[in-house]
Amino acid sequence: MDILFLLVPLSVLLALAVMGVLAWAVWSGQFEELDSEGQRILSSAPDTDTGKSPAAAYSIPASLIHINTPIAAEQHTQT
Amino acid sequence: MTAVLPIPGVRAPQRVWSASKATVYNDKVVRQFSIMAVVWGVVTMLVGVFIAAQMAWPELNFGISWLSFGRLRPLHTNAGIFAFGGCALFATSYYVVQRTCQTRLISDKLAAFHFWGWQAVIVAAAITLPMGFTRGKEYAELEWPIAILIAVVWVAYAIAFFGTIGIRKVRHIYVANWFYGAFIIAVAMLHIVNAAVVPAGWMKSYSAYAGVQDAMVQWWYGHNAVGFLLTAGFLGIVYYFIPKQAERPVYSYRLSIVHFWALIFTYMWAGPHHLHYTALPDWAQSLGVVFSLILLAPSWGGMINGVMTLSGAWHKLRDDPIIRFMIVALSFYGIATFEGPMLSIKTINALSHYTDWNIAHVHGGTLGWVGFISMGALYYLVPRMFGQTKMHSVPAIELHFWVATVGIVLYIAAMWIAGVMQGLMWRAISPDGSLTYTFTESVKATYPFYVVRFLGGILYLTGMLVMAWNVWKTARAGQPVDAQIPSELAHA
Repeated sequence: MDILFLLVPLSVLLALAVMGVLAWAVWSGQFEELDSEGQRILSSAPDTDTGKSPAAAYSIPASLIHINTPIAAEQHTQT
Repeated sequence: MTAVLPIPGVRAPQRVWSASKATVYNDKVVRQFSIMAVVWGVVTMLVGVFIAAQMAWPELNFGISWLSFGRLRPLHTNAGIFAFGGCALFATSYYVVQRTCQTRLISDKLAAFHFWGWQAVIVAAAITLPMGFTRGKEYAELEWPIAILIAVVWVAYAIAFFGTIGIRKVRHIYVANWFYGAFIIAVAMLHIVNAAVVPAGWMKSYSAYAGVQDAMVQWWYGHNAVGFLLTAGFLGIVYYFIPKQAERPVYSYRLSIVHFWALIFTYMWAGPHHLHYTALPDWAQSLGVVFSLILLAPSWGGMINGVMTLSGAWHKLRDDPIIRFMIVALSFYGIATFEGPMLSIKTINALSHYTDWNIAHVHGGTLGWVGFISMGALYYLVPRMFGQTKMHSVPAIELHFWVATVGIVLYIAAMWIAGVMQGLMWRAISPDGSLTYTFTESVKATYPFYVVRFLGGILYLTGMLVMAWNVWKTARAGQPVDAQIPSELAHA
């Protein structure tokens, strides 16, 4: 079963890589405000509803809408 | 990446052009993959029904080599997994990654290359498999030049997907993207390791591994292809399209995160359960059983999470045929992920292995889970891709649902009974120690079940044809529309 000398290290490397990504996700704050994240895809309605005017739905600047915070605005509030 | 010097009152023309293009999503590639998912869906189900008929009536080979079961069967599986399933995953992943990242794809050219490259792979498969060119590995039959094309196209897909996540306008990466991302990385790795061959001509090659080593690599690939392509990818669909169609957030967003990490940490070592009672060492087989049993927990956690998303809005199950497609898909996911670990237990496997029980298990997963969740997502996508609010005919969706559901039940029930019967007949021993039945007797006993399975397949194909008609009418009634990016509009 020499093949295990390839498959086992490969799986270990993969598991380490997965752990690395998990660590990045945790430390970079991906999972900080999970309660609002499930809601967010529902609140950005214009991407699905072709009937409504997207401009009207987004007359408020996105930076003021908490649930849809762009990266730039969020970095600003963190500093 | 051109630097634009801000000159008051002056805007460079190309800047205006690129800005206007960047305010809409790249929905063209979503549209292309959605339509082709329907087209390849019809093709794979047609081939499936034909070879199901051959099982009952072998005369349908007509003595023509490229119509024989051995050549058309890999065409059916490849078309189902990579053409129908693949196109559904690509369409939905491009749709979801742009919406949840609030940005256009990082490269239109890569996406276009991905689309046309993938169609070339499918056409090459449809030509070479009936001609008899094969590497002889299940779900990895395509010969090395096509395998290389798959790898190149896949890299383009990975860059287009992860590049888009890299330029996202929203800090949080939505959970569906994690599932799609794991699917993309895992399939790339599995494909490259399992496709290692020594070419011996343009359409002939020998595996880099030999004997039981080769078998182990093949089923490490095969089971994880099921785990990451047919499971993780379609869970990406679950976590975006069920909340959107139900207009409710995921039941527990936290559980969806746990579901993801638990699933990808435990999937990799379930493969050996495909090689029970073979030359594979016993401890490796047992390891496969343990990991298969562990998988039950994250699978059912995810299934319950998806179904409970409807909590408080159960009436949608009655009123909305699209949500019904999605929730029934999750039910089949639950059945298949319970049945899978059970079949991996060696004593049960001793009865089920090499029988039609496996065919029932696989089709519960593909027709019920993969097929239904894809159809639900496509019914959500198609009207939006053509500037419509709903499909041309909602009663036709209803019809599709019932015809397909009855088809699956006929198919699976027939194969379950046939499988258990075959297993019992093969192991039956007379008092004098000889086998009670010859193999041919078990084939003869299976005939009525093959006929029922064929009828179930006909129904499932009929449903798909109804869908194709509905998609055609919806597309003709509208016109291609690329949706606006909300965050870009807010800044404009």
